[in-house]
Amino acid sequence: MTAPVDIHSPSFPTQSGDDLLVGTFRRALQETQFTNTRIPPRRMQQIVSAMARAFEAFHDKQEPASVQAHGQRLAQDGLSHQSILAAVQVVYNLSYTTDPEHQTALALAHGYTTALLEGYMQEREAQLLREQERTRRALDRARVGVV
Amino acid sequence: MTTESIIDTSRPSAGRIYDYMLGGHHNFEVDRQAAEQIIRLLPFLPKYMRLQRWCLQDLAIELTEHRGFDTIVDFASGLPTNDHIHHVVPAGTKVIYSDHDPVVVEYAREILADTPNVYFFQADARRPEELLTRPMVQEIIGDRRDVALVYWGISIFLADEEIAHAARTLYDWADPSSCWVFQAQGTDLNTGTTELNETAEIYRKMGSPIYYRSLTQMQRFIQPWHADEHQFISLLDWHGMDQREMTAEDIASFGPAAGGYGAYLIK
Repeated sequence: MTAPVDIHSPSFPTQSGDDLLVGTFRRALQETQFTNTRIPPRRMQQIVSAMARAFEAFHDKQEPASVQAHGQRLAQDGLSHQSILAAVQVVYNLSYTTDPEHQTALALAHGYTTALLEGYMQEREAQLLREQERTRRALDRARVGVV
Repeated sequence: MTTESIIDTSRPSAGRIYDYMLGGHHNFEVDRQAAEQIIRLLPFLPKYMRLQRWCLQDLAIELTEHRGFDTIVDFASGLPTNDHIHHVVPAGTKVIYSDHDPVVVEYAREILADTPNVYFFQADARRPEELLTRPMVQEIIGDRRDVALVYWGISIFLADEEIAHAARTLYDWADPSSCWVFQAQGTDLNTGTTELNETAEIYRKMGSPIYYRSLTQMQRFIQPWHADEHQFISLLDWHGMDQREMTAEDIASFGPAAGGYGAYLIK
C-alpha cells in the first residue's frame, strides 16, 4: 500500500481539490467532446463529477474493483477512447502536481488508471460483441419479415 | 431513401453511414468506405451529425418539462440508443419511435426490450399517415391529438412534395395544441458547391437522394405550420454550444446555422 497523495494539498490554493479535479477533467474532456457521440456536452458535468468522485475514492481506499466498475460505466455511457485517455492524462498530471517526488504519485496514478482502463476496455469489448450479435439477429429477423 | 435496398448489406446505406459517423458499430465495410468518401468531401459532417443527435434530448426535455407534452411521436428515429428521446423524458411519457429500415426496427426492439411506454414501429416518414393510422398506434394514443411530433434529421432526404405532404397530413391530424418539432436540415450551407454536389451524387447512387434548400424554401413547404416565437434556431444555439468549442474551419463550413435549423412548429 502506497502513501496517499493529498489531492487537497496547498498546491491548489484557489480551489478545493474537488473543484480542481472536476474543473481539470472538464477542460480535458471539452477538447474531446465531439468524440463522445452518445454523450451530449450538457451531460459532461455529471460525467466529470463522477470521475472526480471515483478518483477521490480510490485515493482514500485504493479499491481497484470500484474503479473498474467506474470504467465500465463510462464505456456504457458512451465515453470515447479519446476522452478516457484524456482523463488518464489528467490523473497523471494531477498526481505529479501534488507529489513533487513522483514516486507515490506514480504508484497511485498507475493503480488508478490501470483499473480504469481495464474496466473500460472490458466493457467496450463486451459492447462490441453484444452489438455484433444484435445486428446479426436483427438482420435475420428483418430478412424473414421481408420474405 | 426511395429506392434503397435497406437489407442489402453489400451496398452502402444512408442509415448505416449515419451510424458510422455517430461512432456506432451498426455498419459494414461498404458503409464505412462510402462514409469516408463523404467525409473527405465534407470533413465537418461527423461533427454536424453528432451535434444534430445531441439536440434530440434537448427537444425531448423542452417538450415534456416546459411544454407539458406526455406523448411524443418521432419519425425516422434511427436506433434508440442512450442518447435518444426516451432516456430523458419523465416516467410515464409515451414515446413512439419509427423508422423505415426493418433492420433498425428489429435492432431497436432489442435495445428497448420491455422499456415501459416506449414503442418502435416500421414506418416511412414520407407518409406519416401510415404510422398514425396503425391500429397499435391508435390504441396507444387513443383519440388524443395533443401530442408532440418530431421530424429530426430526416428532411434532407425528403423531396419538396414529400415534406409538403407530411406537413399537410400532420396539420390535418393534429390538435391545435400540438407541436411539430422540425429540423430544416441542409439549409443555408456555407460549403462550396462542388463538394456538396459530389456528396449528393454519392447519396443518389446509393438510392437515397438528398436535397439542399434555403430556409425560406423549407418554410414554404411546411406551411401551414409556422415556427413559434423562438423562430428557427441554429443547431449551435439549440444545444447551447459554445462557439469557442468549434474550430474556425468548422464554423466556416457549418455556416451561420451550423448546417441547419430547428424549430417548434405550431398551428
